[in-house]
Amino acid sequence: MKYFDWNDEKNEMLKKAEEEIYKILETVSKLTLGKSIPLADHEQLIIEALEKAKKDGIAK
Amino acid sequence: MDNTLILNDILGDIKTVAELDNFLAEIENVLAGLFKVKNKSIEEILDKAAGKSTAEEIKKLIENNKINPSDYSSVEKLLNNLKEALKKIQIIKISLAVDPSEEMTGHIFDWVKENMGDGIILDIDKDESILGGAIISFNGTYKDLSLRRTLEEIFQTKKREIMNFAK
Repeated sequence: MKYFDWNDEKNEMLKKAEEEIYKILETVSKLTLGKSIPLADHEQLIIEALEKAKKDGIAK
Repeated sequence: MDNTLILNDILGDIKTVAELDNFLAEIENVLAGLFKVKNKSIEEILDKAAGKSTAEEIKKLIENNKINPSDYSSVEKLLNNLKEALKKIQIIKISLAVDPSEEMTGHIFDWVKENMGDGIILDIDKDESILGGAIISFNGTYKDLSLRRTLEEIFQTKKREIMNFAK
C-alpha cells in the first residue's frame, strides 16, 4: 500500500510553480525585449543575422 | 540582344519583390500601349503607361541597346527580353521584427549585393514575434537567426542560472 506523502506532494507543487514562474519569466523577457530595441540596433541585428547566415553557407 | 546586359542596366534600381511586381506591371502597360494608338511617340506612351522612374529606365535601356525609339517592334522585343531576364532574379526572403524604412531596406539590399552577388532582390515581411534579428530563406535554405530563437535557447540551456538569479 502506498502512503500519501506530504513532502512528495509539496515538492511536486513547488516544481510546477517553478515551471510556471519560468514560463512567465520567458514571456516577460520577450515582451520587454521586443519593445525596447531602438531601430538602429534592429538594423545592426539584421546585418549580424545576414553575416551569420553567410557564414553558415546560405549564399552558396 | 544579351539579356544579362539588359538585366545589369536594371539591377540596383529594383530592390524588393514589390518594386519588381510594380515594374513588371508597368512594362506590361507599355507593351500594351505600343501598338494601341498610332502616331504616338515613345515618350507619350511611357508617360501614360509607366511611372517616372520606370519610364526613365526604359528610355535608358532603349538608348544603351542602340534601338531606334520609333521602331516599336524592336522596343517590344527589348521589353519582352527584359521580362525574361527579370524572371532570373533570385529572391531572398527575410522576416524582420520591424517595418524597415527605405533607408534600412537600402542597407540590407547593399549588404546582399556586396556579399551574395548581383541579381538578388529582397522579399521582406514583418513578424513582431521574432523580436529582432532575422529569419532568412534563400535557395531552399532556412535560417532562424531571430532574437526570439536566441532567447529561447538561453531559456532552455541556462535554466539553473536564470532561476538562481530570479530567487
